[in-house]
Amino acid sequence: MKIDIQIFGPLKEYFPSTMHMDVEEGIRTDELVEKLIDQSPAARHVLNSSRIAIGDEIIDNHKPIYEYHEISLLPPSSGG
Amino acid sequence: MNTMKSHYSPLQVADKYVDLVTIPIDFNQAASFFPLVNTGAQVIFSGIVRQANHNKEVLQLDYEAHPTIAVKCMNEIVDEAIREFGITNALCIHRIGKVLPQDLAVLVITNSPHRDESYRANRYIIDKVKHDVPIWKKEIFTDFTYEWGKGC
Repeated sequence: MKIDIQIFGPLKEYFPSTMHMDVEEGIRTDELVEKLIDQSPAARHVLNSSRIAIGDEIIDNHKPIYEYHEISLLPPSSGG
Repeated sequence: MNTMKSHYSPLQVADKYVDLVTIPIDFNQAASFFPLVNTGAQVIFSGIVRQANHNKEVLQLDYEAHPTIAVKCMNEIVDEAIREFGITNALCIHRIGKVLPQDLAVLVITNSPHRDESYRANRYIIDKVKHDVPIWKKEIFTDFTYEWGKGC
């Protein structure tokens, strides 16, 4: 299945703002992160400290991803 | 922020105001947003863009947010502060986009009958906003190098 991933903040140093990826249906969020690390090993430290949102929900545990999900990768916040 | 007046009429007393804005924060409008009913203390935190950082002169900050999650998180934080500290009301506004040195980047206002609740709630809100809300700061220097904010 094809999914879109929105990339934010310092992760844009490693990935485009919107990524289109071809992944297996039901891939878990932690598995998706591993795929991204494989794609850009230099992003490992930021990816490992990033949160993932499905739609507008930041998820706490590893969850399966389906085609209709909107995925956002949220690196550690630095507002204020 | 520029639409604040249209959200509530003076007779509707809100207990919070949360916003992400791309235009300068109107400090005076924000400070007088809540009627000071049952208020004995108002604490204001203004986060200002520094002119220099890392021994370099700052040209501008570029703030980016996941807007829907950021506003949702800010609402949750302000709700928690009102509930936990018993303050009367609170306001939290954060700039996104390009912000220049000496500009107001974030504003937190807390009102309460006595000062202790407002001080503690205000500190709680700004600390949680910096730590939890998906907003990112890119600091651009006058030599056109840049650094991403490292968090708090």
